Amino acid sequence: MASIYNEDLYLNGNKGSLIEFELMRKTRNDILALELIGYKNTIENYDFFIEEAAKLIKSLNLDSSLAISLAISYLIKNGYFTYNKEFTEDETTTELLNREGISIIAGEGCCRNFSDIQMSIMNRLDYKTKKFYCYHQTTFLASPKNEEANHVLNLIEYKGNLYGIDIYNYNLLYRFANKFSLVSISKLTNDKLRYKPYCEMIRENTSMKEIFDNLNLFESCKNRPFIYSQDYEKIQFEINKKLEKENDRFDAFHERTKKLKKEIYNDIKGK
Amino acid sequence: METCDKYSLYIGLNDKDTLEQMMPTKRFIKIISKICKSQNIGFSIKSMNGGYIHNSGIYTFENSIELSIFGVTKEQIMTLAKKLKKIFNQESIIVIKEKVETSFV
Repeated sequence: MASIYNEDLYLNGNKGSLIEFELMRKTRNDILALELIGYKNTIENYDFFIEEAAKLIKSLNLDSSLAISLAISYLIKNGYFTYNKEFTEDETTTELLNREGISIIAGEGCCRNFSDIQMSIMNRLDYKTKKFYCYHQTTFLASPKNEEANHVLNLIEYKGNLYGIDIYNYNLLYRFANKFSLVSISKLTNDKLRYKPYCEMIRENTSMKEIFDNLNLFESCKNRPFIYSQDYEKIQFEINKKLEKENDRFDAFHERTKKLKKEIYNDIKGK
Repeated sequence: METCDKYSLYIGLNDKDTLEQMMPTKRFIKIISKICKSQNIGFSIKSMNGGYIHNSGIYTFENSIELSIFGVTKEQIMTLAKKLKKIFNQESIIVIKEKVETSFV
């Protein structure tokens, strides 16, 4: 039986799905509005932290959205964004829907927290990025059309093509195979990420027209030249080498923002 | 039968500043449900009536919600309770912990 998440239904105007999504969006918008009032100071502190993090990354003189994404990943995983420098990759209990990246400060987070903080920093640096809500398909036994979204990563522009970069999962890089699917640039994995537009419609208030624009854009990306896996590995190696040399600067950043991060942590943990 | 911790949260629905309920009870329930789902917390919810004495001494009658939760950590409950207190603009939320015997049939 088809589920409400089946894009064949709602993209063709199925009323049942659309009504359900509208209700979900309404509840989400209620929480967003309440959080903006209840967590006003926390959100302001977090936005200030993002500005500081963007300044730090700018000072590294990295020249592409790819390099910046790798730097953000490095900083998170090495605890520089966390109040106590410890970080666990896990589902979080400290999330604010307005700023999902805030959980990173508390030292925990999964894909949506990584993707949110990455997007905030990149937007601050005027790099275009966009969240790609998807179903992570590791087997070809089931149809992904009926499934709920279970993953999110960011789309970035790099040398004339659009890529999905999963900084939560080993910085895996994906390219478009068709208008719905991202596939790994590496031949070592068959993982497919199936676009779930409904999730973007609910979470980002994206209109149906924008979804169709996205699908056209993704379709146009599939024939563009893309980076080879070995070249990407080389970039990762070089960026990591560069970042490791900057650890003193990162330590100083961690110390400078420690008080701010502790305040944010206390607020969202309710201490 | 197994012994586990049961937590009950009593949440009044009147805003602590206006002393009025700012949205229908159904919307409160939906919001709580979504937050519990996002934090991977199973729950049961009951809507009821109650009375509360504010810090200022004013007594109000209000709609309330009882949220029952089993098998989570104290830290998870306190984080949840403090979040609900903040977003619903409450003076306080009562958290009760009891040891109960449960069995799934």
